[in-house]
Amino acid sequence: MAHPFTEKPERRPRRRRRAWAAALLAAALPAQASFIFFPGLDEYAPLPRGPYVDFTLDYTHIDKIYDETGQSVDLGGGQVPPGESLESVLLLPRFLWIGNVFRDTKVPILNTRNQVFRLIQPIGWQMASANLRALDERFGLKSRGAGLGDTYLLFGLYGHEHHWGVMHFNGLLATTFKLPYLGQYDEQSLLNIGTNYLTIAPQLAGHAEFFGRLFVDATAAYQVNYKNDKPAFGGLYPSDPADVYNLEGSFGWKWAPRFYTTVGALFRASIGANRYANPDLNLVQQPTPANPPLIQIPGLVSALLPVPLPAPPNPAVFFISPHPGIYQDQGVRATMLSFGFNYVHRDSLVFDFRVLWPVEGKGSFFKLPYDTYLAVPSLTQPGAYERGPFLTTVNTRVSGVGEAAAIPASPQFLFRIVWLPWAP
Amino acid sequence: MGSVKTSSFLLLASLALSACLPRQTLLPALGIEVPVQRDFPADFKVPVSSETGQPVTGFGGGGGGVHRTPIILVHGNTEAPRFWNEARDWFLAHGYTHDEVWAVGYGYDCTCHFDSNDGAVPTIEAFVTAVQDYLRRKSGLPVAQVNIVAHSLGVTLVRQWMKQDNAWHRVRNFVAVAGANHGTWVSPPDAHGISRAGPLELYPDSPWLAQLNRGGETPGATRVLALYDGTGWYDVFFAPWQKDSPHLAGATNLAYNVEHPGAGLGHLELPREPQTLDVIADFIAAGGEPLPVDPPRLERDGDVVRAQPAGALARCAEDGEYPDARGAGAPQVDLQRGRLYTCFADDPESGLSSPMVRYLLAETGKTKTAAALEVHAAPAGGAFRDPQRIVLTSNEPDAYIVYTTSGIRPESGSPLYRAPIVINTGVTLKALAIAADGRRSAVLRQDYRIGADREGRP
Repeated sequence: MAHPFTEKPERRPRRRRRAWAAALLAAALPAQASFIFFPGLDEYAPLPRGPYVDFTLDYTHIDKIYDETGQSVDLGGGQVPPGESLESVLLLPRFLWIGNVFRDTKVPILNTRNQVFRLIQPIGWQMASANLRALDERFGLKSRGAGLGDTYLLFGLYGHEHHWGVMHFNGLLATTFKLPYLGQYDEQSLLNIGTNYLTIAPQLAGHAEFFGRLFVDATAAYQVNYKNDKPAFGGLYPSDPADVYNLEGSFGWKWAPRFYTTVGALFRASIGANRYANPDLNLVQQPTPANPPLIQIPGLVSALLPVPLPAPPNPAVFFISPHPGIYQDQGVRATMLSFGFNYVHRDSLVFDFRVLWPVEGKGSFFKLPYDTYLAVPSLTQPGAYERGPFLTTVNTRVSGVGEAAAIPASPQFLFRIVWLPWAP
Repeated sequence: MGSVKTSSFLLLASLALSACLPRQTLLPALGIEVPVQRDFPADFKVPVSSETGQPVTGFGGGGGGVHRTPIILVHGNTEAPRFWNEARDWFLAHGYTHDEVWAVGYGYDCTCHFDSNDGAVPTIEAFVTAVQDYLRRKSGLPVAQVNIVAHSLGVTLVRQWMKQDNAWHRVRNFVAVAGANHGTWVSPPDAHGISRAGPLELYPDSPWLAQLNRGGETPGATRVLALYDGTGWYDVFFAPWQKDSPHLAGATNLAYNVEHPGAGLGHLELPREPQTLDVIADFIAAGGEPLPVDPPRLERDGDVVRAQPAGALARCAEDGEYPDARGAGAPQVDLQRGRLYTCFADDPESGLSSPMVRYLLAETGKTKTAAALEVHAAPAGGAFRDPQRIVLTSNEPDAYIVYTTSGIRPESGSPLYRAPIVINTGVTLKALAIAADGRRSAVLRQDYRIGADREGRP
């Protein structure tokens, strides 16, 4: 079934009727999922003991997202002219330590296997384009965010390296904790650098090398997401984000000791649905007239009121509010290809450029019923209106937002500088 | 709920902190002794590390007796004796006794501080001496020699020890696995920071490597096996354009992955996989065992130098080159006046040899002088922030100068000064000038601290 957002322009009036809110809410924090799992060469290799520091600059220009049917759709959804976008710039300082705290002790297993610890503390800036910001402001909401992100801690244990002829292989067992305590989070904002919920992600990874030149990294992880007690943006952040499983594979080829290229694939999908408890997304200006200037109102009204209206006051105005309840989407899914280029400047400095290219996905959309009331003139305040008789409850289609819900269909660019502070 | 969150965050942060701080820093601060591998018998006098000031780590001894020349295993950069645990088990399983397999730890066992060849030479000297003394005392045998299997930085370290301390005669077989004998591309010539000493020693064409290789790469009677990747891909330290860097002229060179396609052994595997341990053990066994005889010696009689006892060969090279045991030796060598000879005595039957000795006979007609012979170093010792080039001079141009950077007293067979000495880490330089008429200068001693300010603070 073709999705309305991708239909031909002449059908836009119908599209507007069906998706009034989805358009302005289509957003994502695109990098957040992927900096638990960096795709790339040697990520899971048994690196030499020592501390590592790296900085990743992650830039994404999002002008498309995936809807619930897997269609790539424009941001704005027709409520604003095409071409609207979100800009996301994230700096991911990462500290990595590999060593063996238990070496030369009698502690079994641990004394012969290196441990790994990783800390990522993102800093980010995200903003929607002007028309989207203006649209969101009509709901009393914001479309920008800046500050610290959630803190990511990883603890892991490397397996021994095994060797079968030209193949070397090692495993890694790790768990990532995403701690939401420092992350910038504004309940009124579409875009937040933090997520406001805890995530624990056990992970199994493997690294293999063939002929000293071909590298294969693979990982599987299960991301347990805890509840978000303060879902942002009118409740369109999931209050109960679904758990997610992640799969990743990457092949690297060493052209020369200093140059590598990689190609890989990432897949992640939710287990079940994201849940949204009592979304309260609503227009600030109410009662709202049936005619412009609020562009979405004609569509809304006709969607809300498929039956003939009773004779309204003149001008016709209405009160609307989301119907309380717990709603859910149909889960999310994303598949991306990654292409990377590594340059080893010296053993203390490595540059890594990478593109994540989305090839398939499914975003979070769900039906959110709105209760509609006729606005009646106030008896106490001349010229004002009060909520009048209940008219009807009508389903609208809205988009879940945030890292757990929105699946961008735009490429993501990463530039990483790895620095080994102890190396000469 | 908030306190739970805070507590869990602090717990995780504490774990992270404790995992990141070097154990050598964190545990002593907590009053906990740092666990180390120091598996020696109680009556073994554990030498002190020249770098840490602590008793060295390692293993060896513990019984079984000495039935063959003992093996000492020397690890690579930032590693520790535990690197050899599996190799030790392999040797024990193949008939070696605990008394015959040893390993020494040098350096800091921490990637936060790269190890240095020059910095660790005194540790090797002390350990080899301690092992020989212990086994002599315990077995009553002479234990004149050891076998050494070294890996990576351990290769250049052991080579530097043999050169600085004139110790080739103490090493019967030397297995040099994946050593950067001609440099490695991962060592930059502009290395900086606390770990710069090792890389400055080992970048391709470095002055340090030039001094190490000068005069010959395999002097003396020591049998040498250089074992390495050879493809340029499996061992990341030796890129295709320098895949033969571990090669040593005069050694048995085995580019293992070239000779055994499909083996695919990497840098850390080459010295301790069963198939290469087989090769190593076979090479050592092929060298035989020393007969219960005294080592040969050189005796000079006028213009002739003879090897004693009968059957021993005198091997000499001229002009600062080192002799080796490959060519045909002779019971005696006629010395020409005005030429500088470096010689050693070699007993082909026992495989024992003497230390290197130099001879310089005054040219005919030259008058003796009574002036005191002096040797000078510029710059003089002290604390320096950057590596130094030390120039040695003598007040007699015809005299030759020998030196050591290991702290040991120089003798005629010590490294011959032919070019400025580049010092990248703290060492004690000792130098001696020797004139053709046999006069010797007083030993000059200069202490250099590199990477420190004028007050000596690092």
